[in-house]
Amino acid sequence: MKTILLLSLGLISSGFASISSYTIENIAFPDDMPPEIGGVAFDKDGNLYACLRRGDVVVTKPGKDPKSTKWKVFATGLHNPMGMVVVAPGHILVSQMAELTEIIDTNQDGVADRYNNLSTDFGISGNYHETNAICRDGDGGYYIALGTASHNGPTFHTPRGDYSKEGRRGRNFSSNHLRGWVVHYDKNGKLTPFASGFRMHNGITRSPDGEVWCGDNQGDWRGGSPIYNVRPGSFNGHPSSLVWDPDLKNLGTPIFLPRKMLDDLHNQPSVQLTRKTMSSCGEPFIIETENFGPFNGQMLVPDENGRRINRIMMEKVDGAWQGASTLFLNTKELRAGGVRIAMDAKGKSIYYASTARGWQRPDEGLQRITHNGKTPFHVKDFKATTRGFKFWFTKPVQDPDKLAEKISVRSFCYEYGYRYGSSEKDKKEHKILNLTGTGPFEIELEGLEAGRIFEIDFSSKLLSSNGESMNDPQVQYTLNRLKRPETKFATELKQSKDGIDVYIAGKFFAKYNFDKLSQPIIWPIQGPGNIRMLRDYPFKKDTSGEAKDHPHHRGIFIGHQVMSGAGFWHYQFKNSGTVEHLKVIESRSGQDRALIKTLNAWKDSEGKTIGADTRTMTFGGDEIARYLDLEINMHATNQDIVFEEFKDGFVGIRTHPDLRLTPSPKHGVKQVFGKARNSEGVEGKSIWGKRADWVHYYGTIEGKEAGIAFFSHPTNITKKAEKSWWHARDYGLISANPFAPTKLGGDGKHTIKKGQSLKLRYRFVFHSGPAKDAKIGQRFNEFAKDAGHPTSIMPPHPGYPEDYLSEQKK
Amino acid sequence: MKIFLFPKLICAALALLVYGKKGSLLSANEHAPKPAYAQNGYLTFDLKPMGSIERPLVLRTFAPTLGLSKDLVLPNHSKGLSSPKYSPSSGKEATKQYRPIDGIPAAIAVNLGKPLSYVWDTTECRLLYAWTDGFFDMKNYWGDRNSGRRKGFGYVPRLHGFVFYKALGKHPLSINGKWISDIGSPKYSGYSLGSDRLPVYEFETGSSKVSIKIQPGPSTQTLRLDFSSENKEVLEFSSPSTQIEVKSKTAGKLSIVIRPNAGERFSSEEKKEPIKKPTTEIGEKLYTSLGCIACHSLDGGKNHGPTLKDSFGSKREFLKASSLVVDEAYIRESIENPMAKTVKGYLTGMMPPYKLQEAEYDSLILFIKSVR
Repeated sequence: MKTILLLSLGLISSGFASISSYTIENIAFPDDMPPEIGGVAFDKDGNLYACLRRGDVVVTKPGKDPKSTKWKVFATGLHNPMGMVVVAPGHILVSQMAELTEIIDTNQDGVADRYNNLSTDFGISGNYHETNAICRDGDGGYYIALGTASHNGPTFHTPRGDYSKEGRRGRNFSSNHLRGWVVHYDKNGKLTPFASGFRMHNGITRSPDGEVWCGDNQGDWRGGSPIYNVRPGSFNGHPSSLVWDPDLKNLGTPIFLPRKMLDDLHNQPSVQLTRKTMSSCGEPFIIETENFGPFNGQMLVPDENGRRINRIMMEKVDGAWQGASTLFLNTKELRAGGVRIAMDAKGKSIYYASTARGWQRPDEGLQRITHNGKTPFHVKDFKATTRGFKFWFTKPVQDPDKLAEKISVRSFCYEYGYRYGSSEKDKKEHKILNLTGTGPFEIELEGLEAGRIFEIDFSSKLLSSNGESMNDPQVQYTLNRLKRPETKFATELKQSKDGIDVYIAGKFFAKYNFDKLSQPIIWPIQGPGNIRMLRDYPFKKDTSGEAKDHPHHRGIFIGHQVMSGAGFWHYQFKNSGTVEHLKVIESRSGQDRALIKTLNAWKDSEGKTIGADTRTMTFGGDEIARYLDLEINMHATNQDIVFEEFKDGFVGIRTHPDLRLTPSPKHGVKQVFGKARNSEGVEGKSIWGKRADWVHYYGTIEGKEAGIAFFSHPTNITKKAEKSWWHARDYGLISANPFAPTKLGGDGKHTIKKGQSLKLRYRFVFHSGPAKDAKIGQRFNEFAKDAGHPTSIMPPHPGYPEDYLSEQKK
Repeated sequence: MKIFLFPKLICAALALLVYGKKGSLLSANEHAPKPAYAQNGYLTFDLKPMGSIERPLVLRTFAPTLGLSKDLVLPNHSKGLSSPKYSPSSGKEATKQYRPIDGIPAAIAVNLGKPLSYVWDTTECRLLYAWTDGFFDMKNYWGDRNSGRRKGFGYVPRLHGFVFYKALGKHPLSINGKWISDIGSPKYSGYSLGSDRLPVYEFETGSSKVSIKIQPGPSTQTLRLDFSSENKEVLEFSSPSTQIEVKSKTAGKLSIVIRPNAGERFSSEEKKEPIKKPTTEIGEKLYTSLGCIACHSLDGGKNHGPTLKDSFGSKREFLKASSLVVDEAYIRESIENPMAKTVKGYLTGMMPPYKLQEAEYDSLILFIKSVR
């Protein structure tokens, strides 16, 4: 009866038409049983288990009539269980608040009699917010999502598991061991940390391709409600849990770390769901059948607070998952509090579980959503292209040639920071420059940029060929990365224990060394035509024709002569500090450019941490050149970082001796073949100590024409918007120095205040052939126009603690 | 919804007749209605669930600490500390501190009706306390049926009944002459349920594997504990200020009866005195205890509900109703009947209605007016 009513209402009101392909039925529970479902799953015999948050696990075999559903109690005594997996009939796993529990009916009488503690190797503080969810790992083990605590509740005098004072600070916090992490419980029972940075990942799912997915709730450090692709070792945005990451242990309280550093560490959410369509994500569910509509392989996400389910179309772009979201079901017939979805064996129905006790007015229970075979008219798939988007509808549309008039596109950014949610920042409208296709369609957009959320609205006048309109005709695409163009110069990275080798078009280009050195060094570098670009010394001590001066001039190296009392230009002095590689945050290759992003700690001569950096290096090439971009962000994590004014610093390179301007016979350099110039027309030795956009050393290397250009991006810090100051010598050393002595015409001393960061961007161009063919000026203009890596930090950022809005008010 | 009223408390003389072996139960309360759980075998909306001898109720929940010694009884727990209060809006910390509260995070509570309730802890692998005539009032955790909010800042159920045993001193078990506190941190393995549905707990310590079953003793306010060691080790039990009777002791097995070592009555009822005069202070206390704090910030920060900061006297726009200036009548309505108007930008139906004393509404209004 209710189904017929719903269907007829569907024809009348478009608000209900979203269910015209899907019917919703309420599964009955006894009146006195609180159906506060934390997890729902089928066994292979078609029995549906539901774990209820007060403690019971109940079972039923769903029949045609939802009102006559009979539940039996299978197990009991569970503390707020929000995760359940069925291993076999009568054998389940439940993640309750304090424990991962295995529950077995050993004597097969229908009631569980054995409760095994699989793991309690994680902390629990006593706070109401710390619930846990689980999913399989595909290899006999599980992933467990451990929620953080909330400042709206207390912690105990006697919690379990290591307690961290620094982790306890903030709004949502991780006071006890591994809260806010996803941990891995392997098939042998060992629990290890897997990924950090979650707040309330209420649900975790593994898709058939082996990827792990979590949503997270709206909250502090979240712009909207994000969906994360959980990569091993990744940090997923919420800093409190970083207290349990040993790599960061010397860098200070995580919630007060420089925000740009956290932004660089952040494994950006694959999809940001906005308040328009999602309040807080429940557990993602992957559709693995053709029987539930035309969305096989896509993801459904229930809303813990709203009466709606989102549908996600995920794709992999430039090494990471991102994608489009749209509303799948949006109707008052759905309960709010949607947390879990389980599909039956036939694949025509999903069971949608709701509970909201504790975070809003209760809306508890189980509903069955069945596909009635009628294909809904909507966007079927939505992908990024190099110039815009490509999309398919589930049915042919009327007037496909007039489609461009029925689409409008806008975009905005979410700001990343400690605040609870973000408003839309930097809103832009995007003109559709071109629309091609009759299904699929491709649109080319003006102003396409990475790091933004695009919102594509389809007009209500857009109809399918049989006259249907779309419900909730809007798609949002989280464009973290642009699709890379085709290339003949594909890149490849090969990581070994001590570094990463970069190959372009199959030929070796550069090596990033991060082991056993006082700082990470890039050496060696081979230009196009396999021309050696750098001095071999001190790495190779027997290459002829090289002067063995300045052993600290090593390949491409980074450091200033004196920073907060420690020396980083040299490594061999008493006050010399070290730069310790902490982790590779991300590396990717295969496209037109390769990328390596790392986190490093800067320590003084006594090993005390004085700061950190995140650096992103990109590598690419064409017929005559290879380029190496460096974006380095210095972070004042523990204290102010003071760059004293010295000529020796900050990013340096020691070239092949053939590119020197002057020989040094007594040091073994008999003949040299280099000339130098800068962007301002100065030539030769005189470029030293002068300001310029770039410097260029060119000539022949081992008989072949070649050169090295070094660009400083116009946004790099200098006094009064001048160009960079160059410590560009005649014997092979070139460095760009933002902190050179003022009496030499430099920018002088600089301080990064604690909690702040400093960004510097440089590009090296290694070319073969004559200088004029390298078109250095043109290459510089391209570099200057390059917006760089997208960031979720809205500049400017004052110090600790930050208050962006109050700055704007001034 | 069936509501079972608890029978009157049984006096000790009758209790002596009642507690024999299971199956020979002579009961003065034979004809009294059984508590919901004992009847149905599932938890209901009853905030004071109770089991029975035939159907023990196993509940895992946070448990009250009951003043147990943290050093002697809870040594395998870690230590929670105070922490600076934090403003989510400004990202700054205040000088005020959050203080920890008492509670046991990972214990198992079992009730067999009025004859026995006990709490056994999985982190310490020992019995913490036992009581009669009640179990837990789960209101702090489960809230009430309509509003769904936990009632109170903490989440720890209230014990009601008569506590007759408390863990005193270090872990009372020794294995082959070595105390568990000297062997090392015990590791909880799980429990089995026999045909009597009573948990038998298992834990490991060093190279030993021990199981323990807890039942009512031969008379009221006594306990029977049966220990078993897999490797047939010699087991002994000792607790300060506690009378123990060893019933049997063989290779690898120990059965004892524990006599009361405590006598404390707990009531779960909060003394609810009617408020005479509404004040801002009372309003501020209610703001926390009723759970408003979970959705309405004081500092302008965003959350599920509008911030209270500068709300009084401000212009407010709604999804369906026409806009108005926030006054006392509106505040009263939005507490008593939040569905009447939903503020633009928020979801309808998230806030439950609150039925309070008149003076409580007035106190909340005074408090909200003061939030600037």
